Amino acid sequence: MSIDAIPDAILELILLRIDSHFCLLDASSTCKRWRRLVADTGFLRQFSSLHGPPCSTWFDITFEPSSAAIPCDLFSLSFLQSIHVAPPDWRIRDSRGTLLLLDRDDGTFYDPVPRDMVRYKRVAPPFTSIFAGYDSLTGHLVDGEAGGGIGLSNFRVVCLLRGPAGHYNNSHYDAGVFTASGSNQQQQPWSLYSMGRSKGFEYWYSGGRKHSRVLVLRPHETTKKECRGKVCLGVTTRRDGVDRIVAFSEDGGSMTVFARVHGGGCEWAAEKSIALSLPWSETSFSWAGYAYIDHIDTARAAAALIVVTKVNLRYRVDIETNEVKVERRLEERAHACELPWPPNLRACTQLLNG
Amino acid sequence: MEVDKGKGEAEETRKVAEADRDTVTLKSSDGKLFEVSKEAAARLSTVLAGMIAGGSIDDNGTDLKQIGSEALENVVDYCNKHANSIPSAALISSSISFNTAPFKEPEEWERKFVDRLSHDALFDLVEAANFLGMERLLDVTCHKISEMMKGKSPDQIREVFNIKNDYTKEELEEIRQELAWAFYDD
Repeated sequence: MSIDAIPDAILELILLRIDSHFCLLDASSTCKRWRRLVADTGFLRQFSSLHGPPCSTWFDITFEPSSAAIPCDLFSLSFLQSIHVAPPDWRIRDSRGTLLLLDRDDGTFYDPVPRDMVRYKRVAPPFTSIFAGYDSLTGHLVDGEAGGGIGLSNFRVVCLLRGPAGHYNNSHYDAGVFTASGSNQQQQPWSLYSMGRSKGFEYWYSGGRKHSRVLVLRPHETTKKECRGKVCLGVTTRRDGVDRIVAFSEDGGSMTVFARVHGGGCEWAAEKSIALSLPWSETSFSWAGYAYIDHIDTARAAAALIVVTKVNLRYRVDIETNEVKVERRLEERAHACELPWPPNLRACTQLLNG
Repeated sequence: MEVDKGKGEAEETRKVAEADRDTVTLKSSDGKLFEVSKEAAARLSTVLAGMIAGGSIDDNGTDLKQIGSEALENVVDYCNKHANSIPSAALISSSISFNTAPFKEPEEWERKFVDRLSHDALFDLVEAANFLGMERLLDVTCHKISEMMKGKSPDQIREVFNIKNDYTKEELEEIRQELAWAFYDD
């Protein structure tokens, strides 16, 4: 017997038991019969009363760098146009030191141009040909690895990439770096996770079980810091107004707070370690997949928010007093977004119902 | 009169004997006989419970013309397994209609029971469960089938269930646009 021979009434019972709203919509797209059953108002009402509204999705904060030290709109490229070296669709993406980063709408990045010279060269072919499938969201000029400030032979371009296309999670970010050394060199992009934003800085990290790389982005700043053995990072602000990075230890029993060396440099050093006597850290399972630092609420001063998804609880840890408090429940998170439900299923059902 | 009386007594005796028996015999559409505990049959199937109460159970095998031997074997197997398992609290209170009550998760042995079935056997069993008014078995089988769609794209669902895509290209595009918010890669 095939599923086509199953009577409508039973097929309806089967479809009612699908426990994901998205999966129901996928199922409804398989054939006309299934779609007719799902599109029925009575069915959708019943499905909603059984499964509730669809799970809210959480939108990650998208990358919005704070304004450049010299706002880009204060520059004019008219002098380039007057001598026919630059087409009119060029944009200034960033400036740093004596360099400008230009790009065109097609995502091609060009060599930084010293402001006092009319000289440019293409650093990279169109973006899409290097990191196929990625969208480039931003490009930032940062000092080269050689030290001694930025210059034509010592710079890097850090790009925030979204994608790759078709990635199931469209809030997935990678970072790619172009360097001055070599005409067209770039590193493999690495996956980035947002740690949150604080005072115009966007904090990202790329995680591994052994190493995490912290990327702090603002038009004039990039920091990379290896934190060994840390798998979960977040950014928060202490009452002194200075940002701290907090990281869970691998066993979940403690949290380390990092601060910038000398208050504002690119190096971060461990400032203190807080022992966490939270319920889950006493159990033997590795909690790393279950707990994370809340990216949104860490913006509130003097606290790092830890969310334990396994038991659907959240804890607020004050990184100054080491106080641990149980927070409100996860579902009440402020950034919930309602999905359109019941869905509009009109296409291809009119004729069948009529 | 005496003859009649004797016949009545015989009937009475037979009925008593039948009532004493603790199994019922079921006959599949292809004529195979299966024995199942009366208690379990009455508890798990509203149809069999009605037949037992109404005395329409045939000692030589109650005809179930709509159910093939493979499906009936699975039904009987399920009843026997159920009789041996300790009924959970969730099962005891299963008198609420399944159309409004939240579904109860299948128990471990029930999962295993349906997991070993082929697609065809599963679909046959779902129909048999529906026909016999076996709410719990219907729940378990429907749950299993719905799980087979989990995380699958429409294409993959069609493949699993061998469903013919009867949409035109234009219709598919229309559907996609209507549900653009639900598709990841948009």
